[in-house]
Amino acid sequence: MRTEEELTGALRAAAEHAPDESDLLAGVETLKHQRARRRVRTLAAAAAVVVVAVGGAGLRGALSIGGEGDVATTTTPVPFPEVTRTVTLDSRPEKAVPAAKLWPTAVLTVPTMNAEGMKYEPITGIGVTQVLLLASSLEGTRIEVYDAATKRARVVTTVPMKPTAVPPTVTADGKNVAWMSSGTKRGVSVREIWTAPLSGGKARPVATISGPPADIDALAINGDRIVWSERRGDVWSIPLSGGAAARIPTGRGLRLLRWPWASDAPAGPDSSVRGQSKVVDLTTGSTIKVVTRPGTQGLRCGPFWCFGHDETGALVQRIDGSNLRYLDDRGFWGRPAMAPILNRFVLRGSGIYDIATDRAAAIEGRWTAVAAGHPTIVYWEGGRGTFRVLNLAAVPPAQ
Amino acid sequence: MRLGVVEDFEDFVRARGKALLRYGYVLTGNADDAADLVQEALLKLNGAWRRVRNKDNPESYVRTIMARQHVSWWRRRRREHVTDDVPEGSYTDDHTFGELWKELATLPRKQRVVLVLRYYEDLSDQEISDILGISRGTVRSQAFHALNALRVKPSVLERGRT
Repeated sequence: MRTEEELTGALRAAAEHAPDESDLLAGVETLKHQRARRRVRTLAAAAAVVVVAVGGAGLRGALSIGGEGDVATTTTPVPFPEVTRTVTLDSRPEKAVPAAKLWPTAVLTVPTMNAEGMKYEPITGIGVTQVLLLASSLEGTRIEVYDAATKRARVVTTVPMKPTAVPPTVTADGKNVAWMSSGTKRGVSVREIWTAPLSGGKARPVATISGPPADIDALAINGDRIVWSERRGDVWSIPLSGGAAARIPTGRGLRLLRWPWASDAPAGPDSSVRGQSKVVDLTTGSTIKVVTRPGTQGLRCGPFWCFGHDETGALVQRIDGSNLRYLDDRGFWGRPAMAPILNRFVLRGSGIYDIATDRAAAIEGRWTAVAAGHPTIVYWEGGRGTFRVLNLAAVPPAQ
Repeated sequence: MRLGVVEDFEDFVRARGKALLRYGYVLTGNADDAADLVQEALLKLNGAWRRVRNKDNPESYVRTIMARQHVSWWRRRRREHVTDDVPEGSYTDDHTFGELWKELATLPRKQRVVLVLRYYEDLSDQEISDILGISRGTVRSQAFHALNALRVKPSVLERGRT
C-alpha cells in the first residue's frame, strides 16, 4: 500500500514535466479560427444525417446452467453463439436474500479489534469457522486467526515492520501464510516476501525484490512455493524455503489469478475498463481464448466464467461468449473489474451474485469491503464493534 | 476598449500559462492533451473574459472548465473507442515519474480528475463536487475506488475529507 503523500508527490513531480507554454496564445488563436470553420461544416452535415438503427436487443429466455468439472473444457471458442440466454436479475429483486440467510454457515461475526486494541483487517477464511486477520496498532503488526465458534483468537506470527509502514499484502493456504511488505530504499521500490507456518511460528524472510520488478500485483502460495506477478506482467515463483526466484516461462507477460491460472489483464479488483483476451494454465501453458462481444468492457475471466459490463449493464458470460446474463443496468462507475471469485461469485452494488445457483445475496451494511489480493471473503459492518465476514469458499456447492 | 480587454487576457495567459499547463498535464497525463485542454479552456475564457474578469476569478474559472472538459472529452472518446485499453508499452516507458504516475493512466478519467482535484489542487470533497457538478457521495466513491486501484491507503477512511 502507498500513502496519500506519495500520490501528491507523484502528481507534483510529474507536473514539472508539463509542456512549455510558449505557444498557448497562438494555439488559442488557431482554435478560434478552426471553430469558426467547423460551425459552417456542422450546419452542412446536419442536413444530411442518416439515422442508423442499432439492432441486437437482448434475447430474453429461460436460463439453463450447465455443470462443470474441474477442468476448463473450452479450448475452441465459438464466436458469438447465436442463441443467447439472458436473464435480468433486477427484474426479480425478490431473488436477493440477505447473505446470512442464504448461506448461514458461510457468514461469521468477527470483532473489529483484538483484546489489546489492535485493529483487525480480515484477509481470508481458514476452514469453516476461522478467519485469518491482520492486526495492527502503533505498537506493531501481527497475523492472527480468529475462530468464530470459540470466539478466540490466536497469534500466527508477528510481522516485523515499522508500525507506520504500509500494511503488508497477506496470502495463505492451509499450511502457511506469506506476505509482502513494501517500502523504498534510496528512491527505489523494495518488496520483501516473508512466510510463517499457519500453525504459528517465527516470520522468515524469503526474498527481497527491488526496482521495477518490485511492482507486484498478486501474491499466492502454491504448496511449497510462493508465486507472484509483476504489475507490468510476468509470473515468478520461489521455494518457500528460500532460494532463487525464477520466472515461470508460461507466465511471460501475464498476471497471476488463482493458481494455476494467469491473465493478460490486471488481476483486479481494479477500476480499469481494460479487458482480457486469454486465460493461461501456468502448469501446462495451455491457453483459453476469451470471446468478447463488441461493446463489452472490463471483461475479466477465470477458467470458466467472465464478469464485465456493456451499455446495458453488468454481465456475466462463459469464457467462450455463451450464456450471457445481465445482472443489473448500472453503469461502470465504481464497479470493480475482476474475474468471478472462485469461478462462481461476482460483486454487485447491493451484494453478491452466485453464478452456479443463479441466486443473489444481499449485503446490508453501510459499506462492504473485499479482502486484498485474490479475495475469497467479503466483509461489512456488523453490530457494534464487529465485522460480518462472508467466506465464499464456505458457501455450499451448487446442487 | 476591446483592445484593452484582449491585452488583459494575454497578460493572464502569459502569467498563468505555465501553471495551467502543469494542471493540464496532471489531469491528462500527456503533453499533447494537456496543451489541447488548456487551449480549449482558454478559448472559453477569452469569450467570457469581460464577465469573468469583473465577477469571478479567471484562474478558478479556467481550472473548473478544464476539469469538466476533461471528463466530458473522455465520455466522448470512450464511445468512439469501445475498448479503452491501456496503450501497449505504457509500463515500459521511462521511469522518471514513478510507478504511481503510470498507474494513474489506467484509471477512468473521472476518477483521475477527482484524485487530481483532491491531491494536486488540494480541494475538499465539497469543492470538488461543486466543480464537477456531481454529489459529494460520488466524489467520495470515485476517490475510494481510485485509491483502491492505486493501492493508496486513505488516511481518512472512505468517508473522505470534509
